[in-house]
Amino acid sequence: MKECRGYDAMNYLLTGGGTGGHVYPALAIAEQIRLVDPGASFLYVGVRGRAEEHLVPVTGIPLRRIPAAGLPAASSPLALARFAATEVAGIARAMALLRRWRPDVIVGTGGYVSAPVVLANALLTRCGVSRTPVVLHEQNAVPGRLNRLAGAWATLIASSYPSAVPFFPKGKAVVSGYPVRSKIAEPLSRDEARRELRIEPDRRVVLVFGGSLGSRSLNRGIVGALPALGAVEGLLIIHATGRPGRGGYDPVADTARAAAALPRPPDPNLYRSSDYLDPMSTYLAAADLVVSRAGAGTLNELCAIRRAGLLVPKANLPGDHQVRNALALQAAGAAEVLYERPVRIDETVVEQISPDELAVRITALMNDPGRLAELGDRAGALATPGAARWLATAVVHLAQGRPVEPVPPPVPWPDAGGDTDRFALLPASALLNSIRSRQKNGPPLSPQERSYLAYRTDGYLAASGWEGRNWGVKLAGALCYGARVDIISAFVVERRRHHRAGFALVGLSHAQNGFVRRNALTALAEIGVWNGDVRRAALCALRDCYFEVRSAGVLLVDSMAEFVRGDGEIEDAVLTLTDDPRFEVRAAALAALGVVGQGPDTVSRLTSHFLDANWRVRAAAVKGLTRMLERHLVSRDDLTRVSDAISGLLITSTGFKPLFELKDALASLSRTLRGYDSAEPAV
Amino acid sequence: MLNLLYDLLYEPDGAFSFLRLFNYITSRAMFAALTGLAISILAGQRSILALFKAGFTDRVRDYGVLDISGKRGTPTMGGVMIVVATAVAAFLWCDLSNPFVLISAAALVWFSALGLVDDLQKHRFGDAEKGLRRWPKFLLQTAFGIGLGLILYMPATSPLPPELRSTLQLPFVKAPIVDLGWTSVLVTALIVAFAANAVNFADGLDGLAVVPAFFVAAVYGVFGYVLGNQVYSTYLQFVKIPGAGELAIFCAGLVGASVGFLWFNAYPAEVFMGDAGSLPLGGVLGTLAALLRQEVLFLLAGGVFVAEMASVVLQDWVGLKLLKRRIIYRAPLHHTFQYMGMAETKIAVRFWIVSGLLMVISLISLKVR
Repeated sequence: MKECRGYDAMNYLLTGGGTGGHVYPALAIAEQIRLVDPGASFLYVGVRGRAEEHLVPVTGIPLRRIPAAGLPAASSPLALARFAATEVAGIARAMALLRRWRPDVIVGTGGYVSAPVVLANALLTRCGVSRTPVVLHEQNAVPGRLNRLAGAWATLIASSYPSAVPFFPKGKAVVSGYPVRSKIAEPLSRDEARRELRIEPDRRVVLVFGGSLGSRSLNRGIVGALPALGAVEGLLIIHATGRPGRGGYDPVADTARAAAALPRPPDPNLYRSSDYLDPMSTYLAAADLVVSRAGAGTLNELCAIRRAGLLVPKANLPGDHQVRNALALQAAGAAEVLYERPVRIDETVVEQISPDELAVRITALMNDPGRLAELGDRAGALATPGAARWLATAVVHLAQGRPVEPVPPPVPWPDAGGDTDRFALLPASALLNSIRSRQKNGPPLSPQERSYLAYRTDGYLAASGWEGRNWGVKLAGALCYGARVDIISAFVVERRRHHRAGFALVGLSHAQNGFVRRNALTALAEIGVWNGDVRRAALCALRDCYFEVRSAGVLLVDSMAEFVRGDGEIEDAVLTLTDDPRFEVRAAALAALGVVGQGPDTVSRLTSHFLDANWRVRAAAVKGLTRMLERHLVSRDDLTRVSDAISGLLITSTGFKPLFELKDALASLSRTLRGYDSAEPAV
Repeated sequence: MLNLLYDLLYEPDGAFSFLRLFNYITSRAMFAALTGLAISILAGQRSILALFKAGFTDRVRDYGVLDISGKRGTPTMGGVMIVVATAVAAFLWCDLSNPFVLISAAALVWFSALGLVDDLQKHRFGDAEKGLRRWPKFLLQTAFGIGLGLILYMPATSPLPPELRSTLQLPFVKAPIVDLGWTSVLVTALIVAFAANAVNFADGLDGLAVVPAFFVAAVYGVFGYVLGNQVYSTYLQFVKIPGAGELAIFCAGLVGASVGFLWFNAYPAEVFMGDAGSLPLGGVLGTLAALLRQEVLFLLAGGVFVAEMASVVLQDWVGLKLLKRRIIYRAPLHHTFQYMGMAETKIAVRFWIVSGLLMVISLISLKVR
């Protein structure tokens, strides 16, 4: 019975799960607690069917399951109601469990299972039946929403990264680093590991793995990259595909299918694959380069074993936390990042990795041993081998009601390079503004920043809502993201597969709405790439039923004039638009005719608008003629015709620009004031 | 209030016999117009300076890149001038025990309070998007409309004759066409909210909102005078509304005050009215329409406002929300003309001409029925 207990032999309740990244830290802490408090008894609270099911029992810690669920990504009432019901059930079960087992301290390592336990404990504390302290560990650079909530009731919050601290109540959170298991904290050397795995010491080893359940994009990407990687001398790729989980994705079969689709079966001397690598720590130690996901656990193992990483963060996770983790390492110069690209295929979003890019990145790194060593060393500098020990001591002290020792000095995380870290917090509109302001005021975007922004743009371009795609095309335009002109052009051209007959009349037969089509064309003009896709989009736009799309199409043709010249089909379409019922389109077409018009009647077509009812159309005709003259395309006959026509231009206009002399003077004063240098002597 | 002097001091042959002028609606209306005009013009320059010093301007952050043809930095909230001048004129020249006057004054106070709060919020956050939220604003406008509708509908409180309490009248049609029953409350609320918002939308160019607004006020002034007058209402076969004549004085004050505001608001504007002007102007016009049971007439006399409102509905609700594309170039309507290259002055004058035309047509509807 528990009535008479000394300082030792406390009850420790561990909770946290879903993925290995949440389970391993809890086990690492437990491992250290056993050293401090040999009589400790543990209970692990997890969810059914997740990583904890096979990770926890092998350690001898009993596992209890409670219902729990993550916050739904979409805020549909039904999903929220289901989430609330699960959460209430989970809290009730957790309360019963806490009353029965009476832990002396609760250790939560995140994942959505720890929230109901912490909440249940908070409720019991409120009722005065429990005073159990709670220690939370946050592994990610940005805490999940449920962990942030749970943080309000925690006694102590330890986080891996300093960037997570501001999300929690002031004074509760400290930076402890990530608790890694002792096996990893004291790793084998590369040679020892290779001897154990029977890999020749002169091979150059790339270890590829996407977590215990596998990663489809990474599996397909690496298999696709094999033909190109065959050219690298001495390369050995060890690939852990992952085991089939409940999600319906069978990594083994999928990888085999991808390999079968290759022109030649992969060379067994280059490529070895298996579903699971055991012990992983030995394989990590044997590798020169690790290509992996950017979960907190993997990253900290990389740091502990001092290996170079090429990180492929999983896209579209809550808070984008893998991307943020990867960015933190990249900023420290401790890893490189390769983004996956979300692509929309038949209304579902699929993440892809370009095999070519993966091959190029791996080849470049493997051919640069200095870079590999630098990445590994920088990663090693971020390791926190004492974190598990400190956390375990803190947990035991809290359980015993003793004060917690001060945290060991935190790892010096360098300031993130450039704005990437700030970009990661921004929604699309603010992202667009910052790109524009950087383009205007400098400094120019760094390659890392560009690749992150491109990743975000890809996400928006594949969004299921039109607003997302709208931001996508705007961002692509601002970034001059030439690699995506195919998608953006398709936005203009695509039609809905099924629509009712009358829809075509109001423009509803297009797959994208008017705003997306218009902004796609504006983006294409900004990107400045001209190819078959763009040409088709331009032609489509010139015949669109929406006037803003027509005029944006004309502006695209206008800005691409050097490529368009001589393209009779486009010139005809622009000519037709000079008689468009909308003045905006007429004006744009006349101005564009000045740069793309080649035909003999271009001049007469332009002068024929000298009596247009709208002066802006007349002004555009004048501009078009000026551009014709500048191109020296006007024949002698035409020249006389132009000078005759000038007197026939209706010169009155209903618009003018006022000039307020006072404002003019003030603006000039302000400019002088800003440029004023008191050091310069007065003349 | 000055009509009390007549009651107190007037004797046919006494020293104060000139006070009989203070008894006639027509003469008091003229005096009210002059009072409103004089106050607006005389107090205008100082008010503008005070508004500027208090910081109620369209913000400019950097004068170095100032758009020298733009309007940034112009003092706003000048609508306070119209409201105060109208209130003083009405206070001096109206019969303050008249329910029509009291209700109109209540509308003036309610909507200018709403507009002031809106403007002050925008000023406090330095952002035109940060005013009152759309729904609270609409609810507060409708709340007044429903209160007004109930007062006019319920026999115990209604200043209207029984045959007008819940009926709908159309311009150019002699008899009320339909008895709406209690739904007349909704019609009242609708016209008040509609008018307030429509004038708000129209307030986008120098002098664009104020001129059509005082044309509509003039129309309702004339209608008030006619409907409250035994002889004219009988002759023109209207249902007489006893006491409505005082509205002619109120309207005259409003017209005078607005013309005085135009003195400063004419292009290039020295002051904008802001929501503190457009909401009370619209709210009062809607209230006048309801008080005289000439709600539909507002759609005719205030056709400019209706067009502005319709353009916004078409563009924002049908276009942006439903079809995800623009339908007209820009909304509200005056921006479409600007986009087409028409100068601001030209658009304003053309809108004035149209609203003048509509005023004439509205006045014709007095006789042609």
